[in-house]
Amino acid sequence: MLAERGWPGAVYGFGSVFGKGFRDSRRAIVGVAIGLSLLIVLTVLTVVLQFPTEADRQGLAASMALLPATVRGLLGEPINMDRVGGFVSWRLGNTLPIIIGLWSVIALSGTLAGEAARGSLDVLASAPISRVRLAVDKILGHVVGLTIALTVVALATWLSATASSHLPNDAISPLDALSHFAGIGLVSLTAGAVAFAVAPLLGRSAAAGVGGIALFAAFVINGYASVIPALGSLKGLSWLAWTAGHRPLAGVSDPGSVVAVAGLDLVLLAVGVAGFVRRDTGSTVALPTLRLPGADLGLSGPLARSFAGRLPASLGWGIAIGAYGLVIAASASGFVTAISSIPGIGAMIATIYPGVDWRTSAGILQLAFYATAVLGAGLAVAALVSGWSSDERERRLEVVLTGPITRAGWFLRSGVGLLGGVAIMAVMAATMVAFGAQIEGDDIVQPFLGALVVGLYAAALVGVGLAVGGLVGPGPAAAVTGGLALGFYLLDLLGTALRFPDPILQLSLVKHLGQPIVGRFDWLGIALCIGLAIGGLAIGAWGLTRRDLRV
Amino acid sequence: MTAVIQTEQLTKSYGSHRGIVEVDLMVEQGEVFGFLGPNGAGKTTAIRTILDLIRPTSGRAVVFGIESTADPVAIHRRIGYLPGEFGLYDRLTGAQTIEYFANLRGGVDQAYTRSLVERLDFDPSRRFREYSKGNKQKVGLILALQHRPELLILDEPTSGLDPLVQQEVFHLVLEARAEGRTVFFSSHVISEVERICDRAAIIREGRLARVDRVEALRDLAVHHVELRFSGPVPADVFRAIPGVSNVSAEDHVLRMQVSGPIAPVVREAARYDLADFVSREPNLEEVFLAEYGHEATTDAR
Repeated sequence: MLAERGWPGAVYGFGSVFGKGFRDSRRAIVGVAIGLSLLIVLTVLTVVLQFPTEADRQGLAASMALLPATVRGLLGEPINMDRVGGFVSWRLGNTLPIIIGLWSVIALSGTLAGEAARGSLDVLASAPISRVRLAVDKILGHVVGLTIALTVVALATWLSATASSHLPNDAISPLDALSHFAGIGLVSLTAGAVAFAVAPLLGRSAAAGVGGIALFAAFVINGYASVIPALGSLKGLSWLAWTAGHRPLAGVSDPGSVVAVAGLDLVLLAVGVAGFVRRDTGSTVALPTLRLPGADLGLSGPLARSFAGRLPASLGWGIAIGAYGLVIAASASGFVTAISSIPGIGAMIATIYPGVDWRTSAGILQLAFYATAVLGAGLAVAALVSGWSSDERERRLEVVLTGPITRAGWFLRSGVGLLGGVAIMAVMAATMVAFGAQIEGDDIVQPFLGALVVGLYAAALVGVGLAVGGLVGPGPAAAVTGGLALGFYLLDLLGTALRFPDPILQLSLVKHLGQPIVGRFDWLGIALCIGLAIGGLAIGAWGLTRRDLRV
Repeated sequence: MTAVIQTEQLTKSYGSHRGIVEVDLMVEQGEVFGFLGPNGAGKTTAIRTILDLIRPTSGRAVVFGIESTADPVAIHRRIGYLPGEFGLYDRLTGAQTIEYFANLRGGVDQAYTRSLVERLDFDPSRRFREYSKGNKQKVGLILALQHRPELLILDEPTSGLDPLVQQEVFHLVLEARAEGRTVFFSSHVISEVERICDRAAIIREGRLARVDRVEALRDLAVHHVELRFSGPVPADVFRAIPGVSNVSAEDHVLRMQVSGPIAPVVREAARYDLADFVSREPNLEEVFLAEYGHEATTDAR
């Protein structure tokens, strides 16, 4: 039956472009609101329960003041660490804009360019709506969703702090919470606005890539500006650095920086609107890229096709992760100098990483690169699994399987091709990391092998993705893989910092890799990774033989 | 008659690639105008330029007296468009998709929308991604038709539809014409253009090759003529007539091809003792092949 049409649909539903965009964002809004609220509440409760007295807080603040510049850069300057708001804003201050920024990049790169890619933009643009209105409605759909999600997070922060703590300094006003997350929201929006600005010119995928690179660059510049002189000169380009002093949860505000970021967002969004209005719909310019022999390599069968299809992304991710490691490794002496200048820091690191010589490239890579590489590899795997599962999702598999090939045969071969892509990514990243160590004149074997272990972790995630893809279908394969990668990373990062019980921490596969870049391998964990990769492949192949093809 | 669509030297190029070149076209109110051409000839480029989805490199398109780039929204308010290739929202049902676009337009008569759903034998309860190619085409047709637009622009409207639904689409087009509305009917299926269009344009390699009434276009094609004489066959006399080619004689029968007016052949035949005269009327397909046959021959060389 056709539904009745009414005005509420203009706000949420099928009554307007805005209403539909808002409705399309509902899952992301709920997910971000609940996920980040839980993260905040857990962080608040941990601080309140583990540091219940003023004396405990003074001790916490004193130890944080000793943190090296690298950590201060990555997590932000510790401000008023004796308050729960100060700790929360410091611990999550640089993480939240990355997580929310990725949402903005995905949403705003695809909101119009995605319509063009799927072929619906011509139908939409032939409706009696101006292109300006269309673009603005699309932007508002995301901005309103972002606002709602962050309002919920702000209220959760206020409520959890108010309800759990009795220390006078812990009080957070609702206005401060809203002001803090307004700043986070505007900063998070910027990378999405970059993607939106270039989307009419470059199309969805390239725009998402540009937005993602901009976000990553802003994070790296802000995080390492205090350690790497070359990045210090670029600090003004990172909008994350602009708002480093706006921390209302910690009791300090810098409204001027927030207004500046808001202005930047508006300019970028206006550029995107103007680009959409002025350009032919769906007409994009191809970015000059390195031509890879993908098509030539990928014609001999499902294995070669799968491998060739993944090869450009594998190389891209490998180069991105490797470049990050190369910069860290090649700057190791700068890191060592910065860390050494802090009295007592060596002893602190020795407590966390007993027996690790942090004065080498390998040691610095383990401290400053490893966790990010694990996250990057996880996101890369989600993208690669998504590409692999598109064969079934986009019905190419139906054509392939009408040939003389069994389902299991196709699955095993294409799965091996996918794992081959992961291997290429790992080798590329490991080679670049080793090159960085070579620049410093340090041992290159340990960093190389350590980065390969990250590749094994990625292969394990691929195994999970293959199992889900084979058993359930192409839809959830990439989502489960990406969710697991993010979950393992956050559990390892935050669980350790927040002193989660050990049985919970052990749920993260990252916990079972050892400290591979400094040569400490967890052989059981490595065997587990190999088992997951091979087992997932076998289970997936079995699963595909027992279900209908899906889209 | 009032021109609903008028293009003047309309040109669209994509860098070094050809789109359309200096297209002059006029579509009059209340007619079904066929737009014929093979794949890649420039049909969709012309339509997208007329709708301001892409901008002309030079020249201009005027729809309802409004230049396409000046006020596209005013034009879009009065048109219904079915693209040749399109996608919609995989997660929405057919009903939700129809509702969405009805809301974007406003003032859509739900009863008429329901009648379209019934006439096209469409099940609106399933998600778009679950539909077959033909059912996706039905969604596009309903979106284009449901607001009874003054101008329907249909790009390959019968693509993927079964014969029964194709008939229904023809009926809907003819109903629109009967109501005084205009239909721009782009297709590479010659028989359907021949069947329902009043006039047609043939486009090849981005340029308009012919524009005329469908009947007149048929006259442009080669007639196959067969003359049966009671006495000797005067083959040489007919070979000398301009437009006559491929003359062959067999017993008392003379066969030939005549391009252009057939009257000179008829006059000459009347001077002899003629037993029978057969001229097969060409269909539009032969017109089309006559236009493209030369290119094909040239290409083959």
